[in-house]
Amino acid sequence: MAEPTDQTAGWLDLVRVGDQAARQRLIEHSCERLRGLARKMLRQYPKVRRWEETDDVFVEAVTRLHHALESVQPESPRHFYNLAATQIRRVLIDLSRRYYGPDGLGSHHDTVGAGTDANAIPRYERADLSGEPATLAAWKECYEQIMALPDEQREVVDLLYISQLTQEEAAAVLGVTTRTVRRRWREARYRLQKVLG
Amino acid sequence: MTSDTEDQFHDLLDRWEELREQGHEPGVEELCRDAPHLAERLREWTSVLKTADWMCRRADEVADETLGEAGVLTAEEKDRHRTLGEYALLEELGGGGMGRVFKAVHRKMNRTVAVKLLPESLVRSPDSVERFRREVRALARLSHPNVVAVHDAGEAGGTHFYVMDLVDGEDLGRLVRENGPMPVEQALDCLLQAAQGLEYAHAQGVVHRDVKPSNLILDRDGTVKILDLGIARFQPLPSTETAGEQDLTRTGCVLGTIDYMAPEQAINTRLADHRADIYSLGCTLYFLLTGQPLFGGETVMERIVAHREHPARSLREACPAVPKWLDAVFRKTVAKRPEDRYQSVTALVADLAQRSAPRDWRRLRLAALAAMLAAVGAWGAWLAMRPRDEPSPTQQTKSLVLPVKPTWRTTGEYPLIAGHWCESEGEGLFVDVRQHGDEFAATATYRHEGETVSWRMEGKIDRYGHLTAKLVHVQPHPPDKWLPQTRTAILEPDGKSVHGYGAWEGGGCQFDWQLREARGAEENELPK
Repeated sequence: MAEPTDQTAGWLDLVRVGDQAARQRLIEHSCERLRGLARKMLRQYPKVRRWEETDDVFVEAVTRLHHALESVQPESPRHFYNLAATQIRRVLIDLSRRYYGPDGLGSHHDTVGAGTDANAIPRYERADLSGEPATLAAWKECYEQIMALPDEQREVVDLLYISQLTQEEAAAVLGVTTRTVRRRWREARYRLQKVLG
Repeated sequence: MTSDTEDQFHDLLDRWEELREQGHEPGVEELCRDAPHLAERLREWTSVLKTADWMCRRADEVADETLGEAGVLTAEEKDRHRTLGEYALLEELGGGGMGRVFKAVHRKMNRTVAVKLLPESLVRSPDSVERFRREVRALARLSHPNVVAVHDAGEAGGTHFYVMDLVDGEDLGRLVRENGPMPVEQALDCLLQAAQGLEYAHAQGVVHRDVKPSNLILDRDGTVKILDLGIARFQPLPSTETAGEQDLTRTGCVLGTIDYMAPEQAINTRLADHRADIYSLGCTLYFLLTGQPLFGGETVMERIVAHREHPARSLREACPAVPKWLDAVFRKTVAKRPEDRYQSVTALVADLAQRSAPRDWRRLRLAALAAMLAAVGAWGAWLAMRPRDEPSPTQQTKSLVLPVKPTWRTTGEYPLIAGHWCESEGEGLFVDVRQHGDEFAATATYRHEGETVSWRMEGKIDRYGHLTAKLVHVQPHPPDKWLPQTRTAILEPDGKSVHGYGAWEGGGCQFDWQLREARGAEENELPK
């Protein structure tokens, strides 16, 4: 679960005075978010799961995220979450390319029950999440569309969806009311779902 | 739409969301009773937002639904599964990243084996089951003294398992954690044996990919056996392990154990070839000799980065007893780039075998036993020295490190005759030694200052001549705080000196003995 914001802000204070352990915890926290999102994106893909190698992919991605976050000194919780979410989205887009691009790891392998469409979800794997992106291409599109949202909405999506903060925590990070967060979140979801179909 | 209307519209959506959170499914007409002009738009929005519900689910929940099967049996399930096909499960031996391991008996063949249960998540689809069986069939063809033999794979009641030799011994990780770092000779011997097992496996096309101390079992005969060879590739999530073992938890998500993992493997397991096993062997050697992983670090990422980027520490600095040549071998095994390492285990084995002349440990056993008796004689020395047990001028002690601050230290020369130990300050000492396999018991009785003193010790000798024994009976009783007491001793390779310690809660004694006359100990038979 997401760490409470006050805790995170506390870490950031410590980071500012040079507490490396606090910095590491904060970074690990983001790595954890990335892991959850990547699993969510890849879980429908028996081709990937069949090789049981998603962990390798994660390690590479998490290493990148780790390096990226290590190289910056966040000024505020808001700044940190912006950086983290931007990195996470970028990594997820790369992951989707890596698997199902023309040279993707999955492009030359067949999966029993998957049908002929490389991106099709086999019937037995389908989860009951009707609006969720159903292919890696759709996930990629989803993350790209998040980037294209107006800043106010994108920030809320980053905090609530990417970083998994609660609405109250997000409001505290942004310095707005919970009601405003709810409204931006709703507008963002509406806009995204319309675009993604 | 005006700002007021927009606010009103979102108020309606707020209300709609609130009611949904409470478990209701409010109708648009009902919500828009006072604002019918917003009904159409509200209908469209609520329809889209319902489809977007997936975004409100926490990623953790979804991930856990998918990957949450721990693959272990609860107590209830365990009872249901007391038998697995032809195998009757006996006691549980422990669990690893791959699932739980049981001692089991084949009911028809009456053969005792170890059975490992696989987590469900590993074998959830028909093709992964088939692949697993195919791999086990390949592993079952391997046969080498340094590899735990795999016999069979099966399925019963939905539980998949594989069957391997039951090895009576302890894993090296546990041994080091319990007894401290190994002497160089022993660590070297373990490394050589593990390398020989891997050399064979690599020649058969099997790469381990999870070589670590806890996957190397030292059996009672002193043979090191490699566990879980070729199985690592089925391992989707390393478990949280015990006792400081830095296996990755779910947070880290990597295949294998990072403390022993080659840099390239942490990036992509598929990039890891047999040279990754060589790297892991190097890290294992470091642990055996120092009791510490090669790289520390609070977090998973710090350790991964250290393996990739930080230069390896000198083994010789951490453990001065390590000869220069071994440090050089170590450095070559833990080179960052696979091409800078040994290119085959065969080359590593050749270097190790060439430089470490094998010692005939078995021949030294009796001498070691005799030495231990001398060590136990320290107890007699204590009795003799009761009024004047100030520490003697000390000799440099090697090989053993006393786990507690020594209360006193004794040094001296002791004549040793097989079976009979003559202690100058006592008289009429008689020692009776019984040895069966690696177990032995010794009793001694003698007169001291008109008093009959006796003791009995029981313990074990390992193939390296290390003795560990407990004093189980002493007459007259020494102060309570000195019992129970464990004695450990090492006989030097020349057979002429012994170093050891006795340890009890809060104190200990250390001894360094020159055996003036070890004659008979090797040549003569001990009394039956």
